[in-house]
Amino acid sequence: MAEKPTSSGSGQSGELQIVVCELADEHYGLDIARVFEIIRNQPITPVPRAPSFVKGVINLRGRIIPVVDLRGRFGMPEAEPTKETRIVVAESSSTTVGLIVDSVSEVLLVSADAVEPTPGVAAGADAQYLRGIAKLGGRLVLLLELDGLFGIEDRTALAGAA
Amino acid sequence: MLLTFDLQPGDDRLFTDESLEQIGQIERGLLELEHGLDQAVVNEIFRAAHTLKGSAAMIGHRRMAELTHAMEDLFGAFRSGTLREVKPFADVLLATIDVLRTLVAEVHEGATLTDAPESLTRQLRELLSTITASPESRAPEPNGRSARPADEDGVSGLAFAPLVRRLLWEAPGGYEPRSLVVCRIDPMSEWQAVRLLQLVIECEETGALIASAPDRGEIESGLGSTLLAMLLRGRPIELLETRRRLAAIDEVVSVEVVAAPVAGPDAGERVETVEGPLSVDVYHPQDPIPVASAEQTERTAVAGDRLKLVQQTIRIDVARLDELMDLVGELVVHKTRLAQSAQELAARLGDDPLARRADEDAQHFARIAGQIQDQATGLRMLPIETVFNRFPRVVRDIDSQLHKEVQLVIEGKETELDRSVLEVVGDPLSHLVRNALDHGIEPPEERRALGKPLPATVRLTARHAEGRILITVEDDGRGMDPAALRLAAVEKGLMSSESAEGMTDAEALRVIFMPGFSTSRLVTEVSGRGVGLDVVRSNIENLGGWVDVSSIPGEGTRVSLSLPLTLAIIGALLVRSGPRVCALPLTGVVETLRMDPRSLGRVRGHAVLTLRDRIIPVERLDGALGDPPRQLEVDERGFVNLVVVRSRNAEMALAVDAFVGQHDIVLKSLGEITGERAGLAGATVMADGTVGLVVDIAALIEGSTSGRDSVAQPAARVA
Repeated sequence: MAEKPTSSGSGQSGELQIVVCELADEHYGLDIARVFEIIRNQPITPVPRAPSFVKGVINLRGRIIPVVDLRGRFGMPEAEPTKETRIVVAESSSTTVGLIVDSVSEVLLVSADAVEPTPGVAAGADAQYLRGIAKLGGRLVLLLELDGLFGIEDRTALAGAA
Repeated sequence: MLLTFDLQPGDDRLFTDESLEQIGQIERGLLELEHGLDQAVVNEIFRAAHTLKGSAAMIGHRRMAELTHAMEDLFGAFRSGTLREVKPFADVLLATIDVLRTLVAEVHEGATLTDAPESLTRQLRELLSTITASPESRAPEPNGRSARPADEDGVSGLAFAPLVRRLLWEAPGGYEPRSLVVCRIDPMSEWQAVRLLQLVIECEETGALIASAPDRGEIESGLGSTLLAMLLRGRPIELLETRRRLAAIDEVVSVEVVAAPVAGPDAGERVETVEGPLSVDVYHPQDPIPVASAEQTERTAVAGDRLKLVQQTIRIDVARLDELMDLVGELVVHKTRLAQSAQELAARLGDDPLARRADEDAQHFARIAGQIQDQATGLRMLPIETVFNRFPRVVRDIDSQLHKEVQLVIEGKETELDRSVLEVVGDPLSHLVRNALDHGIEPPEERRALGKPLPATVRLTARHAEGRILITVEDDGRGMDPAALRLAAVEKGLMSSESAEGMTDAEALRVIFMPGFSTSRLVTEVSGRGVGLDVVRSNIENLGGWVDVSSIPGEGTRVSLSLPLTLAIIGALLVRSGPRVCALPLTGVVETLRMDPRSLGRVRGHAVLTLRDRIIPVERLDGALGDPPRQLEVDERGFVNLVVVRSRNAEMALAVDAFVGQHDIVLKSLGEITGERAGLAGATVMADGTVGLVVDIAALIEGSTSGRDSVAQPAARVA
């Protein structure tokens, strides 16, 4: 089970609606309640001295929003943007962020029973950001926990590593 | 100790705002009354104290309500003429004001912050009872609890307590929570029946009205009354909004809301025991309004006008104004894009009706968008009064501490500026005013010996000049002697005696703004804890402003601050640097140059620009911001683009790839997760919808200066 208590959703009875995105041939799920909108890739203004996974900032109807490369955040190789590349605008505990994903495939209704705790083997340093794994017709969808993923404690750790 | 109040979430802000406004009004009134009793002002502060008491009681802030009540009673004595001079009470009343502000803060903090109110309440009550005990004064009842004939209030044959009793007696029974609302109308109103009807209808419309006395029939038949009692459904706390609406009706002097006792024959009595002293004066107006003289009628009319004026304004959450400003910024961006599209359409279609219409529409849209932008910017403008208002009190307090006789003159307090500037200008101004009093103004004996006028004058002025706001703090004190300042600067080790001698008198005066000049002098309670004028200067300069000082020995000193009208929208030079566009605020831009990089000089391996005898370090803008080194773009002649920027006295030349243009931009925050960003003030949305970074020139120059001094830091190379 995740070390960090999750804020909502998993572990409770009932159903969960998730937005499924692709990232390096893996399926990741985001709680739909946290997703504001999904937009096409667009020019991103890089910010000097930002952590490497922060690609820069974009303008979303007058709001300045930081954009994070989820591949970079999870230590996967970077990929060139394609026609399918999307920015998922979502809310984490600390801020509103845009998440760059390879593509967004669908919105799924998952019953809480289908969600299993993250197995120990998958637990790298980032296991705490996984709420669990949903098995859907032979597919595995990793459910992301956004809280703390870009928080201050996170930044300090990254600054130390850099 | 933890405190809880009877407040809905969000209402605490409203309570705080309103209470602070009333406290401020009382404070200003008291300062005015110190110079002589003015019945109109007395009425104003009495009314403010009364409202304050009511809201404190309603949220259950007992200590605050009691203190305000004691203060109100004292004001009542001024109103009735029992007391004719404010001065002997000024200190204790102003101390009360300070404690009230703390009590208001308690609501926000949810904890006890002061234990002063109890003793102050006692002190005020004792003061009042000593006065009223003296035989020649008209003695009001201790708490005004006893009933008095209500004839003077125009309710024929009905004393007020019976009015309430009748209401509770006649009203249909019920067990749901109820509130008793008592409204008082200006006795001089010629529209009493109309006002009563307005009050009743207002409550009828919300569906909360159970009964009223007098009832609607009586009012419609023309029964005049200055009192109206209503029984409403709901607890007092649920009726905040209703109370606000009732109080907003013209000529309504007070609205009290208390929990109604369960209906019964003796209910009228119980209202009083339940409520204690808090609603007393509504029940038994302590001091009848004196028969109006012509002069007073006029004053009341003025007060009435002011009341109406207040009702024509509404409070808006600042966050909503900021949001509106964001949207307007967006609108302006789209205005530009729409105009571009219309032009492209015309270019593609030629003389086509559709293209013509699109162009006309775009122009029309641009005009409206521009007007909206002006209006939205205007909404954020406030008179500088809100900052100036604190100074009469500041001057009074310092004056009584230092025993100097000083009058404060304020000019141009209606001058408007953006709240972003307003928020930050207060502290520097306080510092300057304190300084003038502490160091500028001579003690009275000295002034008398010199034949200078007493009281001395400190003059605070504000006015608009060339699209900026100019604020001056002026005193007619001893002034500053350039020779003495030169000497002091050398003594403090701030400069060599040669350079001190080389300064003009005007330059010598400016040494007071040097770091280390004013901090080293003896710290007095008045002038602060060693925070120097250099801090004032750097605060003002950080806002894109500047400070000037002039002085004539023996005649006085004048310090002027020039500030931009707004910080939300700033003029900026847009440049392209590496992968992005950067905005350099025009307040820090000295000039732009295009030049051959080979003509740049070198000092210790670092590129420098020699410009009219000044040697200015050169750095790539993106490098200075923290990007890795790269080749700079040059034009066909191999020339580079340079922007010379300045903060305080340091200059720097920034090499950029291209100049984009000059625009007004809306400054926005970059947010948290983009990490440490020295040298950036924020971001802005450009005309094409992409994001540009706004450079913090002061931080950039500071960072680069420290970097240059370190040997380990490799110098950035141009070209």
